[in-house]
Amino acid sequence: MSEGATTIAAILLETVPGTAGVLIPPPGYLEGVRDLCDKYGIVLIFDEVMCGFGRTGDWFAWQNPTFAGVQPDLVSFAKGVNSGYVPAGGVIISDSIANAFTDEVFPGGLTYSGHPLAMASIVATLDAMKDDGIVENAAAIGADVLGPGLRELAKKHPIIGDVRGVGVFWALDLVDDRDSHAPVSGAVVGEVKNRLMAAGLLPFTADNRIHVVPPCIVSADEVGQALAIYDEVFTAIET
Amino acid sequence: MTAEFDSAEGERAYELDRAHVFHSWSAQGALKPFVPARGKGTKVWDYDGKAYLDFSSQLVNLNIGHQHPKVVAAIKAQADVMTTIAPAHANIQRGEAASRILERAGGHFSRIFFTNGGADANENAIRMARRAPRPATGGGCPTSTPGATPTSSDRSSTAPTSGRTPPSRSPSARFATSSA
Repeated sequence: MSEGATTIAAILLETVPGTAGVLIPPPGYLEGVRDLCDKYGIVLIFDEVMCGFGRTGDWFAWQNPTFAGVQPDLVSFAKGVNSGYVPAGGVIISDSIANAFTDEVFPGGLTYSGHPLAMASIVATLDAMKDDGIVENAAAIGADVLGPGLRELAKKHPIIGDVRGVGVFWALDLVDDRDSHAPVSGAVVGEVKNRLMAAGLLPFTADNRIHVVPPCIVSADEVGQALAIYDEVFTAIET
Repeated sequence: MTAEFDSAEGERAYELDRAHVFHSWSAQGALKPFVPARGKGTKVWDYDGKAYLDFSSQLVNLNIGHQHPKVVAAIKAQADVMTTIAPAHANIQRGEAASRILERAGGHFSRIFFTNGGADANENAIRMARRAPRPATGGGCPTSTPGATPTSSDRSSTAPTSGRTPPSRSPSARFATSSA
């Protein structure tokens, strides 16, 4: 801002940063960013590539009133829109920004933009997610089974330094020491990963974290099986 | 279920990968890629028939689970009709997809620009923001650059280093108010 707000065209942020550690925005944070953008005439872009289309238990993370509830001007998406069955992504455009290109040329495009196989898979995916209540399932699993289960694991295992998440979008920080929050070594993460695989669970790891990110269709029974595997592996690692 | 799995094919898949495939976000030397053979719902199987609960959703993209029959059927049906068209043409599936996304977004949104994935979605969103008039003041943004191609990876605060390291912040990155 010291160089002047007019040098800033846009602020782009993940509504819930994903690979960086599933960081749920604290109350008021996104409202504050929205206010700054409104004050200085800056376009607000939410990156919902990972957090959109069910991951947080909402169609879009910005619609979750507990940590968001403000509307961006542009939204990028991909992944969950068709679960990647055929590569696809895109930008959701506000009416006012779309209207800016009524007579002006938008200088961008891709040969496969709106590829029919990808589009057909989006239509079928969004219909099935709606008809089968898949987004609602993700919200309920997170609130009733996965979140409480992971917090129970953290009580039992000192290697878990923090549990964060919502819906089917969770992270466990693995630490050597809970007070200093010192991360475990890469070797420990590697051993946890190998043991989870051996026990029949395909994990997602990033730095010193395990991201617990099952499909939105996951059942309470499958979550129970997974929690038992995490429990078994952390017990083995800690002894 | 084991009879459906061909462990020799799994070995060949692994050997071909290690011989010829260059992997993203990785130092190439020490990679030992997992070789999934099948998927269904929340499960994947390797070529020996061992089942795994997929708590990665692959790269956190598989929200509807593996091999949803309605999605697979829709792809097959469209493949029989028309597998590709130029972006300048209109297509019924594209319009149906856009209207469904907008219905779920609600609010002040009215159009969808389709890309091939998330990185180019971010790149084009930035380009739109640079080219559109400033929301409050009107008039073009001073940084507006014809043909600008801001790369999505450049917006990340940390450059990838060696090993399997997606763009990420420090291991302890967190909001200040997050509970420990």
